[in-house]
Amino acid sequence: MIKTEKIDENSERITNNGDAVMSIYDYRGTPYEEQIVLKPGESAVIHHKYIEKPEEKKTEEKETERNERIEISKAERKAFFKKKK
Amino acid sequence: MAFPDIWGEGTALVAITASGGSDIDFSAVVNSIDIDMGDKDFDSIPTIRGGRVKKQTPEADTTVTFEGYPLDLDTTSTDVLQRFFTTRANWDTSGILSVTNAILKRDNFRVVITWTENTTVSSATALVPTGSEALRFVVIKCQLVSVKPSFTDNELKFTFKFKCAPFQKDGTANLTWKSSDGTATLTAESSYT
Repeated sequence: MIKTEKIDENSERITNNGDAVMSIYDYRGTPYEEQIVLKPGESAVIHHKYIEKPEEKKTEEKETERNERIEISKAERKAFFKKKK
Repeated sequence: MAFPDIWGEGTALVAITASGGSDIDFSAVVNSIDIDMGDKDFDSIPTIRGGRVKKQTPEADTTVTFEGYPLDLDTTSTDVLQRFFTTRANWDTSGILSVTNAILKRDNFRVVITWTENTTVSSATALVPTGSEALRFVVIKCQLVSVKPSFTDNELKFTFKFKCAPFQKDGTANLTWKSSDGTATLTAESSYT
């Protein structure tokens, strides 16, 4: 028998409790479809839809933060050249 | 790499898939496979001067007949009776399994037979890696047209037959043969919808 456990809306765990090898498909019907061969006793998680990760939004550096960063660098440089002398 | 002299014992794998379902491997219960590919015949018509003209006849249907030893009605295993009598939408999958011939609709099936000596390949639809020779037969849009159980010589044996037309309504071919000499991967079959 096959055992199906729902994990969330988009995925479920399939366990092959039978005595025959079976092949299931992750992301079935999508361009990302991948075959998973389950021997008796094996299980795998399959997904129904491919959900793209949203792009990480780049945060703009604030003007003051940028100035502070440059100032720190200038200070470090001054200290470095003083040491050299 | 070289092909074996013949594809013999221990080299065949069979997977049967109902449309929209998972591929189920029947290799452990099948002991014979007969592929009767449809003839591509012609008629010859005599002309008045004694010659002949060839008239092609349409390619005949193909049947794939298995003999084997399925044990129960588990459709996640090697059941043939539920697959014969009813459709995937109506399969009984829990408790005491039972089926009647009450459903008039018929499922389509895909039958895949792969011959390879690579023992790590565990399904007929699975990828056969580089370095292993293989021969594969894929037939889609089949119907399970016949199931004949018989209990003779103290063994319950099922003879079950899949039949398909050579082409679909739009002319798409239903039969495919593939082979790999090991220099490239024989890719896994896609899901059958």
